[in-house]
Amino acid sequence: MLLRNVSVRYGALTALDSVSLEVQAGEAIALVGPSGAGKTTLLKLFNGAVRPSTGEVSVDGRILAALSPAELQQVRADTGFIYQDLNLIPNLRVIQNIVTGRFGRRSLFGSAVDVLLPSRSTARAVYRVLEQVGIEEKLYLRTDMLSGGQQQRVAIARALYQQPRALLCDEPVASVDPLRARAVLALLKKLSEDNGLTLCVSLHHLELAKEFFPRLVAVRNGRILFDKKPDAITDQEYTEIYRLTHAAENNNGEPENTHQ
Amino acid sequence: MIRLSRRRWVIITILIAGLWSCVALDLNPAGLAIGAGGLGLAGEFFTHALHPALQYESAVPAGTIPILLRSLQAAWWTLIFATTAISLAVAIGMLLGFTASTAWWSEDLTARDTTWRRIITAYLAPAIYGSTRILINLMRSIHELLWAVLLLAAFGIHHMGAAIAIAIPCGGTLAKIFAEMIDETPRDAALAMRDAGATPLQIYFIGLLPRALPDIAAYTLYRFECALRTSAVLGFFGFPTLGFYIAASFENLHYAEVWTYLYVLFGLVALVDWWSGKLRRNMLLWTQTTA
Repeated sequence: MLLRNVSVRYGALTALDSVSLEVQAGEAIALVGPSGAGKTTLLKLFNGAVRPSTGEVSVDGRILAALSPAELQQVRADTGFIYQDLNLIPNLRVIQNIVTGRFGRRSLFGSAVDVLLPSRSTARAVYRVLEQVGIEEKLYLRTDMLSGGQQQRVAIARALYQQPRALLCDEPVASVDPLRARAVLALLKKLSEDNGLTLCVSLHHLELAKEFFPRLVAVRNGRILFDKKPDAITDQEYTEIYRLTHAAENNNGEPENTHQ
Repeated sequence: MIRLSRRRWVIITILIAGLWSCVALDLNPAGLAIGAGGLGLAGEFFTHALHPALQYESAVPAGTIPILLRSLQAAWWTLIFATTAISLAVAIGMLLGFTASTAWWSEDLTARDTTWRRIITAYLAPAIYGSTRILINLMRSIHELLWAVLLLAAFGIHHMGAAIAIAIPCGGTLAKIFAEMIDETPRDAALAMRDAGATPLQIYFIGLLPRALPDIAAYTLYRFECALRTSAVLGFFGFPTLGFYIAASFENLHYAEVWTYLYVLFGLVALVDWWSGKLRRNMLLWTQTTA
């Protein structure tokens, strides 16, 4: 996945300003930085949900802007996204939520069958995905009967069921206590290693990012501040990004000095 | 000159309109009491409320079923007409509710930017949407009783006519509400489906409809209560519902009989209200359950 001089503007607001970034297949990276820095926008560029105002995005060597609608849909089907708000359907069962992950490859009729009368093989496939996230016994429960942490695992399972080549996770541990945050990140790491997926996670907790990811990309004010291995980060860079993330948290999530 | 805010102007206009219409109708409480011995008639009618008829008030042909049985039979017919009508209305509502909604063609739920898709989004869907909205408004703007008159003129007293007379405006209302409920359903899961490559129809039927379904069912039950009341009134046109016997007894000045039928109607409406209220509460609880 490659970004070349990408800028994203929403009206007068510049979310990303001439960003270049290359992520190798199978790599695991963390995007760190205060909220509002442009991390989510960066993630959404990779699955085509956000289009660059200038610059180009390519996935697997193919420039997204040059793809036909069908090819773009294929790229989307190949990219699993785990949303900060999970975006599940609360009054459907876990299995019904998970089958929606593969709708990009299913006909309307096939997807209706998956939801209403899932075949044995579909149920088995969903069960196996749930096993990977450790909540296989919840297969037929209503999704909103699950705890927040379990619902997050459903969202992860839905992305896995999609059979993606890359997993993009937007702030997976933003509203999770530190102990469980480590479990979630460890799970994401393990799943992407087991399945050979590229993993991109946005985090505003630098400590956790350092602990789990071999490569950290710090984003601030829509620009990349640094792109390094955790132990190569200088104290000055560390304090700068750390100060910013904490200033952001103390300010009700409103970052200082962004988007001027 | 007093300067009034826009909102106050609206309130004052509504008040004046209300008062003026009362004056225009020559409304005077005194007229109600004195007019043509109305008070005596009203008194006689309401005193019968205390002792409804348990037998017919005048001689009836041999073989006529007892009044209590007949009122229950009429209640049964009332229920059947309402049930048929609401079933038709739900079918109409689902069909027109789909074409009257914007969710299946709105741009933010459309990932695939093909030429065909663009034609649908720009021309075809808005045309279908617009004509459905007009059709729905036509169906709703004519009252059930007017539809009954029109259908009677066209087909005579046919049971289907009564059911259709209720089903048309009710179906229009259901279509409008269904469409709005689906359009207002939270779109987060729908957007997730779009990002995973799902088509707008998959998103509509699986990402949005199931989530709106409990509300849709609850509203349909409420409409069923309305259909029941209308079904009773349609008896005035000759259909065998409670209204038919109420009108007949009233014309014969058999007020005690009128009250018997009215009490059965109250009972029926209360029973259905209670039952559907319970169902609706359960459904809403069901949607709000969170761990």
